[in-house]
Amino acid sequence: MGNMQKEKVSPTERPRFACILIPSFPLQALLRSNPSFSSKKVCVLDGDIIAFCSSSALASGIRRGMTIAQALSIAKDAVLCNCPPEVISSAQSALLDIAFSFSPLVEPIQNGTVVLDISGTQQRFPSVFGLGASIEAMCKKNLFSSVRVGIADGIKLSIVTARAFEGVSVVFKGHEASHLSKAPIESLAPSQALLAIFKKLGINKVSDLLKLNPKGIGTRLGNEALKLYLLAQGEDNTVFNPITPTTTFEEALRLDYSLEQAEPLIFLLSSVIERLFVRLEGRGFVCSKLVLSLQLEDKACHVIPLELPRPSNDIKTILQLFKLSLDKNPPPSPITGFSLQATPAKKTMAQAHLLGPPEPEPSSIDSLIVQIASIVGAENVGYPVCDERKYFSGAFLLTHEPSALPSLSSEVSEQSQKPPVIALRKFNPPKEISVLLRDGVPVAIEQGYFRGHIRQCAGPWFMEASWWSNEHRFGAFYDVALGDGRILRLWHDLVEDKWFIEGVYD
Amino acid sequence: MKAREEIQKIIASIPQVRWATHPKEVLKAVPSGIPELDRALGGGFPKGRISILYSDNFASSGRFSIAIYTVSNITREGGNVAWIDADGSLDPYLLKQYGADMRRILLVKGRMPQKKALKVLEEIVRHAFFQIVIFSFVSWKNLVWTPSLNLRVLKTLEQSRIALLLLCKQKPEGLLSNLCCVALPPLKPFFDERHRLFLGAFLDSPTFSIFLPYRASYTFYPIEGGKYG
Repeated sequence: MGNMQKEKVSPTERPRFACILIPSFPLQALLRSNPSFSSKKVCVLDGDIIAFCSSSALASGIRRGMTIAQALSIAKDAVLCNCPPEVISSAQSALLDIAFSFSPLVEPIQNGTVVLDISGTQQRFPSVFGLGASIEAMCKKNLFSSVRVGIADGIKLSIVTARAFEGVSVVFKGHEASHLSKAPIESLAPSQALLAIFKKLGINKVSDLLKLNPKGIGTRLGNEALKLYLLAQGEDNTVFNPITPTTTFEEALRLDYSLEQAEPLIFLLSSVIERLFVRLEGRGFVCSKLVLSLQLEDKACHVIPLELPRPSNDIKTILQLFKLSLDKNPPPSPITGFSLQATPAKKTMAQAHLLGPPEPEPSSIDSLIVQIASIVGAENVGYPVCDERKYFSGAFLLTHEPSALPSLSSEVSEQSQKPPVIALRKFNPPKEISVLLRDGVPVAIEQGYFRGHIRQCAGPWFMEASWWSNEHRFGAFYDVALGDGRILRLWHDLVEDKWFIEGVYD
Repeated sequence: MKAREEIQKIIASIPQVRWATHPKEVLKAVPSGIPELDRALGGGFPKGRISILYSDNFASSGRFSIAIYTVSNITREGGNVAWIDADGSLDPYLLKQYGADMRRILLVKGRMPQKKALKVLEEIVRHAFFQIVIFSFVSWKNLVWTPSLNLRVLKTLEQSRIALLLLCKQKPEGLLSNLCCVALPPLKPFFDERHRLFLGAFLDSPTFSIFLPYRASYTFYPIEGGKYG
């Protein structure tokens, strides 16, 4: 923030646009997707020529415009590679997400440059410098190591400001000429022909252009030069064309080698998920579904969808779930790259009671459910849903959405005031037994752990249920007390004439 | 009257409560809702500690009913409960009959190996969402509760202030300290000749002094004049 202008401004004079510019965007996109490159001498190629080089490559003497052979003769350990289009696309999406996390009105200018309308952000950011610093911090969080933020009252002005100065720069209305005069002439982005003329005339800075007589600029240097002159004076009538916020979040990684085992893939996946979730969190979302597309050596694509029981951004648990999915459904051939697409969902909100006990945060419960689901499976964790039609079969489902369940009715509350029954601890599945009968009444259990003489017996209670379906049950219940004090519930299946222990009263 | 006397005798023998920690230590507790049990436990199941309901291999002792009654009581008051049903023996319809608020019961069900169940337990107690966590493994022969696991769970419980209630056949080996053990004797059923139903004693509580095996919410057809053993 070296060029911050500490000038007082009234709210009406607050600049309207901010430009986020990532210098050497292909290089930063590559470093973002491969954090291990950060300490290496990395150069991004454009054909056979070096287009961008990292600070360590610059320090070793490599410069833009060198050939591969020249670069390698200077530093043998230099990493020279092209930036894959999917990596550029992921980085550009991340940049748009950063912009959308500050304003709903965003226009992408080109790869690595976006402009956002910052009007209406006074409540959240009373100072534009604070806003600029927050944008810079958010970019750093999204693994963009170098960022320029230009804030001005016009779209092109904000772009020029971002191009001209390092860090966060703010140009207030009426101070454009004085502020931009220090900027190099290249920051106005003149055409190559006009730039050559400027250089020939010794116009190296914007201040040199501003010294010229405006009446002669149009006739001598052309319409383009006049437009640049007016822009440097602060005249910017560019129309703002915002785009609709995207709801797809995707990160991709292409490998220079092929992976055959799950462990290294999980390791790489963790950094990709981390990047993806930083983007989601920036937009206030959590992840509800992930789709992992593995590019295989034989050019095929192996897709692994992962539906989360509850929306969650818990990286550790999601990695565990991916590991389980990969074990169940391994890719048929080695992996050369992958992309991960996340479906966003809104964070679960809940209204707490004013006087009731403190409620847990819904997103933390969601996270816990996902964690347990990764251990026991999503179908084995949740809130029980009792379907009265399935009472006799004892079947029930678990839902992950407690608000979908009916609230406690007054009828149930009243019922709970009555003396409760002793609980039946069910056997799952019911144990089949053989029973000795006398006059049609069970008198002894003949086998197994529950063998013994039946001291007392209550029942039978006949029951026929689900006769309309395949789960038809017809039989009789008995409650029996054994000599040693155990009280069991027996089920006599009258269709197949079999006896079962349903459970034990406990 | 004979039945009533026998009930009184049973009540006299229940509950055998003992504390492993200093008896004067004041602990915040999660009430079970059974006044007599809460009185005996000093307010309920202690927070940040492990409580065990066991019955020395008796199949019918009432520990499951105590747990279900406690869960219903807590959820009705607006508390949250987690139930790890490691042997698949919980019938949620019963919880509903007891008047539990199902939206406040996070259930982990299914027969699962010990290692998995203990992992789930550790994960749940780490989150301080719940007033009580019930870990039911009555049908298991034994629980391998190692001292290191004991230490980890206790440390987490103390931080999260959750009461952990274990329902087991017998006291697990390896549980060393800071325990609240409730040993329950077997249920003693009584047969009501007039109504052809079992009656029984269950702690010294008017709500539990008599139980009926079925509630009237479902249609059963007792045969008039049937023969019973």
